[in-house]
Amino acid sequence: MIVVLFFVSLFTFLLFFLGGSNPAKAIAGTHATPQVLARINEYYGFDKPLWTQYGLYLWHLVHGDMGTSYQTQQPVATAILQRFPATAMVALWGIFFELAIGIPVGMISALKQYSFRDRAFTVFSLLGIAAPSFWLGFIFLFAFAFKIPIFPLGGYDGWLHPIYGVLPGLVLAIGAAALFSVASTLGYLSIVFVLSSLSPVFLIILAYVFLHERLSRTQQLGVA
Amino acid sequence: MKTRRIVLALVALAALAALALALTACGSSTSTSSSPGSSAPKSGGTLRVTFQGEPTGLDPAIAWETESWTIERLTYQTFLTYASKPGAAGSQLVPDLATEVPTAANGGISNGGTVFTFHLKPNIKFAPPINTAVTAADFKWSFERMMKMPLAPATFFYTDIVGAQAYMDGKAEHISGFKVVDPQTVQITLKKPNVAFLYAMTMPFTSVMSKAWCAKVGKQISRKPLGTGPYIITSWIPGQEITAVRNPNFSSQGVRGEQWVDKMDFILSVNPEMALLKLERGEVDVLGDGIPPADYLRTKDSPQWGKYVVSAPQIAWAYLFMNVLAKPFDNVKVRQAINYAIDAAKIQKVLAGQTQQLNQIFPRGLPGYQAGKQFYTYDPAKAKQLLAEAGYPNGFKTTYYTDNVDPQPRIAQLIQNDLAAVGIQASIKLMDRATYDTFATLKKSHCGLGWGYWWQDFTDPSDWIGPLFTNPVNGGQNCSFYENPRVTALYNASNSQLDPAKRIQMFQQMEDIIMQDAPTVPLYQPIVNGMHSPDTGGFYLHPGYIFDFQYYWKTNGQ
Repeated sequence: MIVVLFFVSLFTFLLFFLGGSNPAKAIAGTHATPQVLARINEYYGFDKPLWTQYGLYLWHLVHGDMGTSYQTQQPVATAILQRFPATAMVALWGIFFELAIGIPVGMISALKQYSFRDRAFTVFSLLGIAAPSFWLGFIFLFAFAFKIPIFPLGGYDGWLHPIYGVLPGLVLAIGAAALFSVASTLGYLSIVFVLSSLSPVFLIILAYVFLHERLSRTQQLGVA
Repeated sequence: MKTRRIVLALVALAALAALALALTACGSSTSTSSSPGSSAPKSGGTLRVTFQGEPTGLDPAIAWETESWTIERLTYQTFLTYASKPGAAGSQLVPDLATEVPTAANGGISNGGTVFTFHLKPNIKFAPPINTAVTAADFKWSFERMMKMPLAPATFFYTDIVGAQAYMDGKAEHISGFKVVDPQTVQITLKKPNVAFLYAMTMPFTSVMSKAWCAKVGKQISRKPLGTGPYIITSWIPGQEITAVRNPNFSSQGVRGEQWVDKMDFILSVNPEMALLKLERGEVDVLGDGIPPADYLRTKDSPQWGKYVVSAPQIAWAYLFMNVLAKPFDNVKVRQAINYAIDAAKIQKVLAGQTQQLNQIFPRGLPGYQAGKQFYTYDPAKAKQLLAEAGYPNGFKTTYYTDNVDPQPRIAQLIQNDLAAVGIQASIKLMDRATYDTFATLKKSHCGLGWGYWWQDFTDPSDWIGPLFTNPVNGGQNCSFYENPRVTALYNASNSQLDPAKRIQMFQQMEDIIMQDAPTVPLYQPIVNGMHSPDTGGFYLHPGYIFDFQYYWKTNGQ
């Protein structure tokens, strides 16, 4: 885990600096003179060798200091925390829709394999995976926020107004649910594996479905 | 049976696709719009503005983007500003916190253009909770604070002040050339004459700030601004919203007394297409990013919404630069040939409505612009002839560099076609914007032919000629590395020319010489296509600031 984090930090650090752009210019704007850029370089240490900069960055990171943003001069940790509630809300709506769509679709597809419903769901799943989420987002906003004004046209107003997260969560979920249901038609085991990592409740639901189907089949065969 | 299932599946698929198309094909809007209200200004209400980005910060010493400046102007004031009018009238200097614009006639500019005296208006107070009176000492403190900040990007406008460089280098306690003559008077002395210095004093970098407030909020000053302006920023939720309310301490100021709306809401992180939909639904009053290019023609031609579209040329220009140090662009005939080869009119057609053709260096709105002036026409035959005279009868191979942000790639293809028509085989090299911005300025890039874009720092032709066509340095903005002693001599002389009309004439002479040397091909001037809601009154686009929010009102008082 630590090794993975180390390489992630190294990779993102290198991406930022080896892109060929000049961070001082990104801060000061394109009209700044070379003298101004030199002053910024000196202030932030951009003129030090790359490995020195990385070392300093890691040193601060392991001491809990994520530094300050070059652009806004505000602490990075604060910036992340400030945006966390909105991200969390969209993520939760996303998980909700993903399960609300994916599980029933997956189960029906699995239980009634090769039925018409199963094939229709497969088509739906493939569309869901193929449709780019930003396009889907625009379609939903246009249809369900503009033409038929049910949802707000984007924005966020805190956790007391969860309706802002519905459409974004739905768009996120469609891609995920589609993958989910396709995976489920390949066999119970994969669902069990994924769901068990999500919640024991769904594990129980699926175990019931599995056992019920097995039982009814054995009954049909006149066994037990 | 199997075939039937496949058919059913295909039908379902077609139905889904048709549904999607039907939803997207409906183009008309559904909101009700009230008829435009009366033209008299009305107090009260909330102005709602959308922005896709957000200010990186509101510290006037550092911030340098449209979003920051338009919001900063609500809170911070400087000695001078521009008239709040559209068009050429909007590039006139008017006093903001000063009693008058310094001129040679009123003694404000003296000693041959090296000494500038500013008289502070009486009864100026900082906003609550500070409430103290502003004095000349506050201006000195704010200015020295700005010059000392390592991140301040614009110190180079002010390094000609006596003692400024020593102060920045830590060799002096104060800037000796920035003097507090008395509590209401500031006197600034420059090392050499520079009449354009007045323009540098309009920029937000010279705003007056409260020492007490900066001490109180410390590093948060970038998020918690406080000045003397008509509005106070009361909250800033990052990525979401900035709110401003009327400053009760402002109404004592004379000329800029307009504070119509009670409150302003800047809604951040709104996609420009969504912003347009929100405006059509009545949720937004001003589009901070303008009308998205893809929707412009449709909106402008709409009988319901067309009347709320306001367009104005921006004081900026897009151009091609040619590096006079890189063969074959070191030959003036080659550069002139390329000027004749480019069909700029075709670019305007492709960018329908977003640009206006420009055939000179100075764009509309900048003093020095001459209506109807055209240095080169579209003449491929003449281009070929000039190339032959230069020794390239069969053209040559080269590379055209630009960034990958739309519409630059599309323009690159048009340029490539125009050059091919006269025998120049140009391959296109795209790079991301930040990389290109640095690449084009470096000598080692050997960037012979590239894309250039420049917007005003202040509304004076010295801001065009100086950075772009004089004194080339590695890493500077003069990407053609062009220098002509006649131009440089005229430029230096213009700094001490106190007669404004004569001074503008000198810049036009410089333009004549530069266009004769042809290190650049002017392409176009961008147009801002703004839009406001039916309930917004007094809306106009300022040539420099773009928006002037404190002058807009709500016709319904809401």
